[in-house]
Amino acid sequence: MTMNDLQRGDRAVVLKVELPVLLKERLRSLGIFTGAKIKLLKGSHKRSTWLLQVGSAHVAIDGETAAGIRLWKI
Amino acid sequence: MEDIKLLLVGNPNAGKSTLFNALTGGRAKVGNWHGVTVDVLERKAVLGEKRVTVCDLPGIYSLASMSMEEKLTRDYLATHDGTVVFVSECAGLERSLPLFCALLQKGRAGVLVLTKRRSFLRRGGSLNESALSQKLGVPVLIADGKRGFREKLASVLPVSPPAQTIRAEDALADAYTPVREGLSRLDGLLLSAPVCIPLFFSLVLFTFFVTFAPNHLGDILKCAIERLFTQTLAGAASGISSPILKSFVADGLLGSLGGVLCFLPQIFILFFALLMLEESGFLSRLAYLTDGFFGKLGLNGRAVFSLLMGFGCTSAAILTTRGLDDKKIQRRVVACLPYIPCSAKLPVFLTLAVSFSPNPFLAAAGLYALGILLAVGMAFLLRGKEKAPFVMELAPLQIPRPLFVLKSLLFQLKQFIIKVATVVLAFFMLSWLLSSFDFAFRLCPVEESMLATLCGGLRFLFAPIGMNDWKIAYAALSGLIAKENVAGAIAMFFGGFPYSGASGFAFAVFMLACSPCVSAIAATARELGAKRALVYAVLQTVGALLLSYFVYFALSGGAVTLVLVLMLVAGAIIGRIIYERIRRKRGKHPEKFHG
Repeated sequence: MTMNDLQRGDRAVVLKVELPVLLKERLRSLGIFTGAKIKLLKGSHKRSTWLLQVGSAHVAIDGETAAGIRLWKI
Repeated sequence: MEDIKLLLVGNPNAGKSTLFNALTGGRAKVGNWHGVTVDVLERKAVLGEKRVTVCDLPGIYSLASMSMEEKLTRDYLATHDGTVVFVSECAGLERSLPLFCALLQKGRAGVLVLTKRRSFLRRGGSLNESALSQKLGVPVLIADGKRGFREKLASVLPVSPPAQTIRAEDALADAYTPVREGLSRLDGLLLSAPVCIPLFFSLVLFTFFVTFAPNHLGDILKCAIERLFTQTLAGAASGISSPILKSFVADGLLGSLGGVLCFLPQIFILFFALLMLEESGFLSRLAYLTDGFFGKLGLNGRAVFSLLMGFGCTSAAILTTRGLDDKKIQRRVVACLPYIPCSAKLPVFLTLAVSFSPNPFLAAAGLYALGILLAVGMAFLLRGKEKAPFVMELAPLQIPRPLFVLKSLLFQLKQFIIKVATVVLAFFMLSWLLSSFDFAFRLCPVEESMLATLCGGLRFLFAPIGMNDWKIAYAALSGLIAKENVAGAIAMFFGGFPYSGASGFAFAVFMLACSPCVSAIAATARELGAKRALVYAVLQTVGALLLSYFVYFALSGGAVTLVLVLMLVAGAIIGRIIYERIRRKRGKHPEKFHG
């Protein structure tokens, strides 16, 4: 499951991040890594960009990057 | 006295530059968005009885960093000794502490400085700083905007590296409760495109209206300064008996400098609007909402920051492109930025506006809109096939701090006045000298002056748009030194812009699209290399010249227009094809993200 399968307000656990190393590292430093809990706050027009809550931070990521994050809905 | 080097490290937008300014009395640019600081700033200060050198480093998320400015910080830390003053927002401590712990593990001495505690506690978080300090083995200080922080920091210096290091999670256990909150109602509204985008354009239009519309704030203040120069000071200058001194004061000094300084209130209002957008956190929301649009242009939402900064100063905006993560996107944004009208072009537009529109508000708004269209067109022309990734933490929404806004505004105005009093003044003194004397150093009419002899050949530059005058070409090219020079040169030679209609508009279009000033070219050279900066400058100037010819012919009609349109379109297509071929020949396929 990826971000596309979540609805606004859904919570999920990150199962795997399948992205280039440096992008993966950036996501890690923002709190998005295997085992981290996220909440989907919003998706922009045509779901091209997503807004997530990770801990106390609000993180925006584009659709292609989001597609590389495997999730488990909780 | 001891000499201690303090390295301000932390995540972007943690408050490092604010702390740098508080410790050193410096004027580092601060703002409520990620990536304001793009270079290392160093300044000496005295804390208590200790002499320190404080280094403000660009924000960094981890030691395996990604963006260009993060790499700068990482490399700086690898090559410089010093005590790490790690700055973190209380609310973001959970995320940023692993970086601090990683630095401590490398044997660094450190101090943890926590910011924005009041809002953190108000939102339900809790923090036991003494427990945290004990666990980490380093001093933990709170920077809450109150006096006495310098003394507190001085009292813990010098710091030794901790005897043993600890994992961030273990340090935070029992000492820290994070805030877990969703979007506020206001944030929810601002993050919706039907609210945020119209609101943004309404704010921009309102700002333009207040700045440019006749008999409104900007115009009233501008007229007051104009009166000061044209009536009061020029009246006083008329009493000077020496013709040379009188010419220097009336034509050179008051004419040119007055022609630039009278736009001070309008620049003030424009900067105020930009600061409010920056400080409130509105830009982050705009970046999130426009990422899809910018993605289609081969950019990403992060480009919004640099493009909007371009309305203030192109040179500063070019430096902010370092935060864009990807060199290719940086190149595209740098190529687009000269078309975004900077504040220095404002006096030029308003000087020219009277020649082609009875309403300066409509004229200026039209030119700004055209600039944005040209920037978007350039991005479209340079767009790649791949979309740039966009990962960004949203800056918090906040009410702009009045004192901060006031200080920033005064700083910007000071910079403008310094520029006018140095670069612009030096240019006009030279221009006055060359345009008032012949080669035998006798006072003469401008057409017989040294400048006329030296620059007479330039008259052909704008002849196709009905201005067969070297003085106009000289004014236009003087913009390469500083854009304010153009308005001043026109005021010095003519009093006001002497042409009207199509010529005036075509000239305004040239000014809009031509190469930026030397400081922006230097900034481009710093980011992309001197060769590329020079090529960009030449292409932009030639392109602007062709565009102004086209606009003139389009407005005055004629078959030449059609030919020119076709030539421009063909030129753009051929340029694109050649560019693609060169890329393919060099085997430069779309790069993977930082691969």
